[in-house]
Amino acid sequence: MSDTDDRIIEEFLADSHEGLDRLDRDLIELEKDPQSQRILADAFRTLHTIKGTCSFLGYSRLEHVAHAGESLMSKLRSGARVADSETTSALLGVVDAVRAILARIESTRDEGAGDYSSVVARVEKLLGGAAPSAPAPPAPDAVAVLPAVDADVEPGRSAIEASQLRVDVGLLDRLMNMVGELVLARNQMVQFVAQEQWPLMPQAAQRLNHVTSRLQEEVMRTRMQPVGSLLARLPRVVRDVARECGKHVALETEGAATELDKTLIEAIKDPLLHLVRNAIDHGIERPEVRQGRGKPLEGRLRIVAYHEGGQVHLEVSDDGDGIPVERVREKAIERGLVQGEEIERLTDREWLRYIFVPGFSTADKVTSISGRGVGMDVVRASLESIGGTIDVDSRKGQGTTFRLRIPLTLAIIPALMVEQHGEHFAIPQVSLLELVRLRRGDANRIEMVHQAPVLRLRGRLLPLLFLGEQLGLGPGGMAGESAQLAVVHASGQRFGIVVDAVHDTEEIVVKPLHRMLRPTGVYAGATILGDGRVALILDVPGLGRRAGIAVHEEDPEPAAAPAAALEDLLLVRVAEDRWAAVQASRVSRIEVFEGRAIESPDDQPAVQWRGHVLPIVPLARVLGRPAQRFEPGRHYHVLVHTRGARPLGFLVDEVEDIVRTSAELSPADAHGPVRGRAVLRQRITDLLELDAIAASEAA
Amino acid sequence: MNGTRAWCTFRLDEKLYAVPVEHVQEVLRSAVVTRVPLAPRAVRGLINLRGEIVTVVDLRQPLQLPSAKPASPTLVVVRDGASSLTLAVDAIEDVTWTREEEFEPCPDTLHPAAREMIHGCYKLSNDLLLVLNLERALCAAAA
Repeated sequence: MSDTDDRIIEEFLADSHEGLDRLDRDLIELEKDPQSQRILADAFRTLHTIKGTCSFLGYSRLEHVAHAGESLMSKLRSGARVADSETTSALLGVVDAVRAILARIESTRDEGAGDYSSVVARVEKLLGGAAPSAPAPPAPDAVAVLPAVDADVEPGRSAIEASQLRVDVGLLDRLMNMVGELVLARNQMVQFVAQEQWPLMPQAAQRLNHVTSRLQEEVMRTRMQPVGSLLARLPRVVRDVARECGKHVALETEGAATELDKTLIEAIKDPLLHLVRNAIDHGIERPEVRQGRGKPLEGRLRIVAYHEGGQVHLEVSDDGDGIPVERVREKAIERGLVQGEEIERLTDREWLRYIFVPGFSTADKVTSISGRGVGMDVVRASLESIGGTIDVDSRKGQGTTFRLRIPLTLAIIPALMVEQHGEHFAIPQVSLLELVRLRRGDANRIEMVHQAPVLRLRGRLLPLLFLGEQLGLGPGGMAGESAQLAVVHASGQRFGIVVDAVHDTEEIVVKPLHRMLRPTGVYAGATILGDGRVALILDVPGLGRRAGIAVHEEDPEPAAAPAAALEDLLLVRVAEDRWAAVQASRVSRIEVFEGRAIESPDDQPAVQWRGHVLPIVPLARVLGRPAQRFEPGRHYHVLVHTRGARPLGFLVDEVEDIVRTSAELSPADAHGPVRGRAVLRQRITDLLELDAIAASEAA
Repeated sequence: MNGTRAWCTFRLDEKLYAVPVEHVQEVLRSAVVTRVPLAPRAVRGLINLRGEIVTVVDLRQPLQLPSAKPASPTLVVVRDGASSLTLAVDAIEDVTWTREEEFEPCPDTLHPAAREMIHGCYKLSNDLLLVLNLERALCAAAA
């Protein structure tokens, strides 16, 4: 087959799949609004186009099936027949049959010898019979019998669909422009090096940095697709599953415009479908039962998507019966997953987490849809494999909500660089909760519970693992004068990873590892550092499993822990990619000054403020970043500090927010102006002690 | 040219091995190899090849050769389907042409486990060229 022929077929397949997806949605809309001329016209046109093209390409079997659908559609369009649920089911049967044949064509370029006569017969019966005057009540359908298809050819989504992408042309134009700027920046650097104009390099490097960041952002944007493409398939699934279970379900979706990286959309497709099926099969009650409980006959299934905190949140909630916590408790105890005094201590919410354990199912009967006990753990594993998480909340008699959190993109992630035995590793920031510095004396704070090391952190036990020990680089325990503890979370578990040292947070490009290295189970990939060296990216859940971190109960939000003093911290951005927090109590005012107001006699910038001369100290300089010039027309944010000998103004790039937190640090953590480091709003943030900085400025 | 094949040849522990020349992407004299803790013994580590991360495999272990590793091996970058892999070898030798009819099965002197990984051999004027079955060797390396 020639290349052109092949391309024509590929285009036909891609277009047809799009058309079929639209048709699915249209047919379901049609059930609710049988008279809609627009839908009738659209649906007819789609079938007509498919029929025409496959006739041109010589796929006669496909043509036959499509033709049957088209005839029925034609009757609906002309008003000779009203779209009732039986008609819709017959047409959906045609859609499925067409998909099956297309899948065959995709893999073998031949439409195969499948028998679709039952599908066609069903349609012809409707064509022959009298048009019903009133829509018949939705009888629980026997699921449309699909023609026997080879096991290896699945009637379903095409692989082509998964590997193609629609991109906004404007975006491509911007990319072209940016590549142009990149070329200019590159040329400039090459020239400077060739002419050995070294003093000009920092500026060129900064320009390159800037252009590359923008290019990176825009390229990432091309991969972002609206979640809506996933949500659009749901009406059909909900309809089919609801009928199979004999239930009435109304689907609401919100946030279809929320964008997510295309590969991630593919990855959450199956987990989402499973949750939807589960909600209908197990969550929502039968109409009689609902009526008896005073609930509306139609169950509500709500799916909401939104961005928050650098992640995409997806909530799947139903107003059904809720997950039976007592049964989960029973099963968990029966399987020995929880013992002794823990049984009394766990809250309902903590018990619910056990549904994610492999092989766990409280369903009495295994239906063809779910309840086989293979579901929830696979859902969680799928999400974790893309760096996401899942949590569940359920109220008896009221309903259940599953909350999924998914990172925006897989390819480039922020990560904390750590060092162990001289080797560098990366811990994805999405797993990171906080950093604690350990000194030699802290070694005796480490207790042993069931032969496993734990640390008492703010009154709660934190299981520990020593990275060096886990990777076989050396024995466990703290070797030197100090070590760092990275508190992480995975699979609803909090634990700590002890490493020799911690370096900066960086945005790293994730590169996959050869499949030969996957069985190690502790690496999520590798990356190339700025100096060209390779660093391995740790798979936090995998590391936890390897260390045998037990399933302890852990709340995502620490509940009533003996509170260390809560304090208000002011979050500020100090330099392009450095964040800091200062105690709000140390800042008397936040002022904004225009560039011209800041004078710099003797290189010490200052501003007239309330009759005083207020020296301006850039916090960036305190953290080792270069000083900046003050430009007229720009505005500068200054934190005014009046607790010292004289007022000082600390310059920041941006004031973000105030958070109330109990970030615990020992005074010994302080080195210089940095009181310690914590992870706030998912970013590594330096905690600065303004009083101390002010004192050293006065000196 | 019918019946002749070109081989990229290299030494491992004094023995001469061959892979089809079309599978070899390039040869590196040295590179910084990053260790991968917990990896199978035959995996020496990872290198940065112009932005691509490539795994370095030492075939001594699967080939049952004594594992005295030279400090800085020569790296032969091989294309294994869509992905690249690097073989750590003692030294790279010349490209050698052989005639199809000179192909012989493995000599019995080879260790049985090693024989699994050798397709066969060619007698050269003063050496024996062992044709490596790369796929099998990599499977053994991964174990």
